[in-house]
Amino acid sequence: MESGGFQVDDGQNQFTIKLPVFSGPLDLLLHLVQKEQVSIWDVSLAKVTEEYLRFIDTMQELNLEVTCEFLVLAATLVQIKARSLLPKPTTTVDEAEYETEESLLLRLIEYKKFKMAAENFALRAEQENEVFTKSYLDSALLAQDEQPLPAPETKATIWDLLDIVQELLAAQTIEAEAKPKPQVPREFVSLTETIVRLQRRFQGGYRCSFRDLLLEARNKAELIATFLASLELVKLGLITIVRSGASNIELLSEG
Amino acid sequence: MNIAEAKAILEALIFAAPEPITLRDCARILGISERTAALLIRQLDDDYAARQSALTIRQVAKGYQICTKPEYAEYIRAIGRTSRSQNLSPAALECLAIVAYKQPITRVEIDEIRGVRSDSALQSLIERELVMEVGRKEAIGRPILFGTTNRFLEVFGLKDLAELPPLEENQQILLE
Repeated sequence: MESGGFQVDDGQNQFTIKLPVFSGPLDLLLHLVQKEQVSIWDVSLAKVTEEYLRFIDTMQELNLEVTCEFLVLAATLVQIKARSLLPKPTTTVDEAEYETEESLLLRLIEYKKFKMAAENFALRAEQENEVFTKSYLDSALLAQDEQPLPAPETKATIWDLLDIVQELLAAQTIEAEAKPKPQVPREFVSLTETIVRLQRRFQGGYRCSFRDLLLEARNKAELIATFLASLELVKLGLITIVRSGASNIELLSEG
Repeated sequence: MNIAEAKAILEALIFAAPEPITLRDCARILGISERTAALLIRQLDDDYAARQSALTIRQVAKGYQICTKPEYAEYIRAIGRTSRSQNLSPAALECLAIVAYKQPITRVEIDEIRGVRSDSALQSLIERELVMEVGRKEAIGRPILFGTTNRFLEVFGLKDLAELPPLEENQQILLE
């Protein structure tokens, strides 16, 4: 899977937004391991497994497409965790059939090697943007005005956004359970309207913390709509996700 | 044909070629040795440097290319309509990195490293002429082998594949 899609029925339209920001389950696992800020070998796989499963839950709740590869890795993690709790069998007959913690971590390190190389490639391509050749200029100047794709300087990832969404969703749920439910008619939150509203706000250059933006939501539905609308604007290249400071993720648009 | 003429012809060739021109083609067209051609191209570039030209000759994608120096980029961009739409998705970049370092490689082998199917990423790389089929693997089903193109070298400013920076092997950094 190269992209996460989602569908929201906001009462009027069905949305399917494909996002090319998802890189796959190993990318998520690496994100979670790196959040622990310890060496990959020292990471608590039990803790990471819990976090991974919570992420999958959140993704499902947000109607982001969770492909089978995400589930396979979830199953692998759970299996490793379960096996670590059981006494070690004396025979090692089936050893090769199971993925061990060690082999998974080795796979993760191998993946990271190429992820770093890919980041390096992105940097090189950026440097190459400073150099112009005749054949390049010919083709560029002859070409129709193309809408440039979103800049590759997305320093923060979709996982960083999901970190925050997840945290706030959990807080919302606790709050909602604490309060007695008032009998109000169910309110539809229109994704289209949320997108238009956000787009207007970000027009002509604007910068704000993603967390603050989500905190403006009055309920869970609004929070999810704001998240999905942000993703859509990122996809359209109208806003960029950047990291400022350790945990602060900001959305910004060019003036 | 004197040296000045030969240099002028080489300049014309490098300037007009639709893609980086190889030393071999230069030598063939001028009827001189590759060594002489290389020397003359080097002199040509020195001439550019001596008169503080905005142009420079660089070795890229197994050939030579005339390009502007990076310090003039912002002026060139001011012309407008010069933006590049080469930006690749993170998935496509990962896929490209794997192909570049592990070529020739099958799609399944790429999928194994990434832990996810890479069909569409691979497809977009093929459409952009960064990756191509280079043969078939002698294995069950004879799966297609993929490798990078000359265009890949050009886009990333590499002389040849040997110029790829080595993969990060420092365990300290990888484990962080």
